[in-house]
Amino acid sequence: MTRALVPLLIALSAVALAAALLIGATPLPLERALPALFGAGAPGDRIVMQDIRLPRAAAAYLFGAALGLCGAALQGLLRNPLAEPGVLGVSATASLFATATIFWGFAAASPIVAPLAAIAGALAATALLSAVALRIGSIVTLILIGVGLSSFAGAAMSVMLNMAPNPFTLFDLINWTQGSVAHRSIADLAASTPFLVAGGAVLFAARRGLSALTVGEEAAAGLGLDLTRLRLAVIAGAGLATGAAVSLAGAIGFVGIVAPHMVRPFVAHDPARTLAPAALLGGALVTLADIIVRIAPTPSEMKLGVVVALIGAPAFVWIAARRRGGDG
Amino acid sequence: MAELRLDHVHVAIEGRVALRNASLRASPGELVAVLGANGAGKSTLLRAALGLAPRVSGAVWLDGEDPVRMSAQARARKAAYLPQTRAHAWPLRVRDAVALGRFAYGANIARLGANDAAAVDRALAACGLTDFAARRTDSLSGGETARVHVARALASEAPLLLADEPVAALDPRHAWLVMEAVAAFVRGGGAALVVLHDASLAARFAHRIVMMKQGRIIADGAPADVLTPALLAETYGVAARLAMLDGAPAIAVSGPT
Repeated sequence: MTRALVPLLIALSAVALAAALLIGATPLPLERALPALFGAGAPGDRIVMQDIRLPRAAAAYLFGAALGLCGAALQGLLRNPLAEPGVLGVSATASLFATATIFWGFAAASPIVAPLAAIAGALAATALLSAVALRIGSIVTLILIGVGLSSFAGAAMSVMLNMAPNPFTLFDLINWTQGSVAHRSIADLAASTPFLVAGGAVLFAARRGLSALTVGEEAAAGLGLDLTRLRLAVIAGAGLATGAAVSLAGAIGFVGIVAPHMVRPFVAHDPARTLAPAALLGGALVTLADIIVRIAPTPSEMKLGVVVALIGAPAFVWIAARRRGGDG
Repeated sequence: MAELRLDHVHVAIEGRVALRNASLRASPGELVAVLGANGAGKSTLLRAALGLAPRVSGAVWLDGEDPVRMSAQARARKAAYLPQTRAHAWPLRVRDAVALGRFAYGANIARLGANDAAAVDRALAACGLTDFAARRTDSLSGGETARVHVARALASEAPLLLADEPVAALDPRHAWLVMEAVAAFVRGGGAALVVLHDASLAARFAHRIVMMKQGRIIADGAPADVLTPALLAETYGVAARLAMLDGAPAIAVSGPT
């Protein structure tokens, strides 16, 4: 099972992405959908496949993969399965920074402005959290700070909603606060993906240090781990990847908790071996959740973040309630 | 073969002097036990020896090098360090937890190279854990967990071992098994500096005992020379009687002084 895990998750990801590309409001049979995806076929079909479904499916998958990876990495760093960009307020802060650029109109200048702002917000939040983590080794304190960051970001974004200059800005802002991958474009993907991949690569390169941290910081330093460097790598990597992911989909919580939690038993609970499968599963889960959003018979489309939270929040409560105490 | 030396080391933590003028040597083939009351500076002594505690003055040599100037990786190859043990954050397999001892050699615990795997096997065998290799660390007793920590240190095959209360809260049998594994490491040419609370256990295994009080080393010598009623009264504030049993001093505490 352990050895088969990654191939299985790659297969699941492929199925989820294929389903996301083939299911939609406009019924397109396979013999029309496939050529259209690769630039052949009727112009209308091409627009549906290349401009609507492909960016949407890719944004959902990339977001889920980034959050699964960041969740697994932050959990390794903080040695706690409840750490995650959403719970720690990193996603909300990223979302706040990005919405501010939309609200004040800076985002119109270039598609890269909102992602950069989201990354700055995510880095600011992770840096604040790790400064506190250095001083107080308590995950409870960090989660409370996360609650504070999320509440503040939520309140500030509510103010922006109230003051939205026009319905389009209002619609944009709602997408950011509730999380959605509708109406993503290839340009959005092109602006965010490089940061997302860079952050992911930094986290992946740090994976051996996360395993060493299993024995605690002092003992890990004794094993030869450079703690300062590892912390910086995880802060920078998680900030980059979370910020870039939030700029694609807004603040969507719990993916980073659920995906690592599900794969951990199959990788012998080794933090290093959790990263890649958590990313694959996170991507597949969010892609599937977005298919639910699209096919659910609701009068107006539900927000992806809402659907993910309906599944993810109970899972978070379940994982938290089942934990044995002892981490202060 | 490597030697650990501390020369007139002072350590201050947040303005408070935690270690005063500490000088000490641990040579290959030597097991040095560090005794003292809680807060006497035993853990600080170990951390100073590794360059992890902020040194105000004095000098430390790990096999001839100042640990403060060494990279974490280079230091780990010279000296294995077991701080006061805490539970594993994740329920790793025993073999993986021991394989973390190969971290300084770039080992990936999921795919060990032949050298690393052989070192891990030797460490598991030395601690009597070969049959436990596939078990999850959260399924082990306290004594078994303590042996996993020692095995992790031995897996590094570093010539120096610094261990902070490796037998804390262990029953006599498990405490003995852990000390026996450390003693075997020393017989193989290693040098060990081990913080202990059980003076009789220290007397049985250590070649030398270092007594600490209020950040100072107040005695350093053979167990029979250091463990005297007067020194035990000074260090721990207890009245104790001593008897020689099987060639090592055994201590019976009769009450606080």
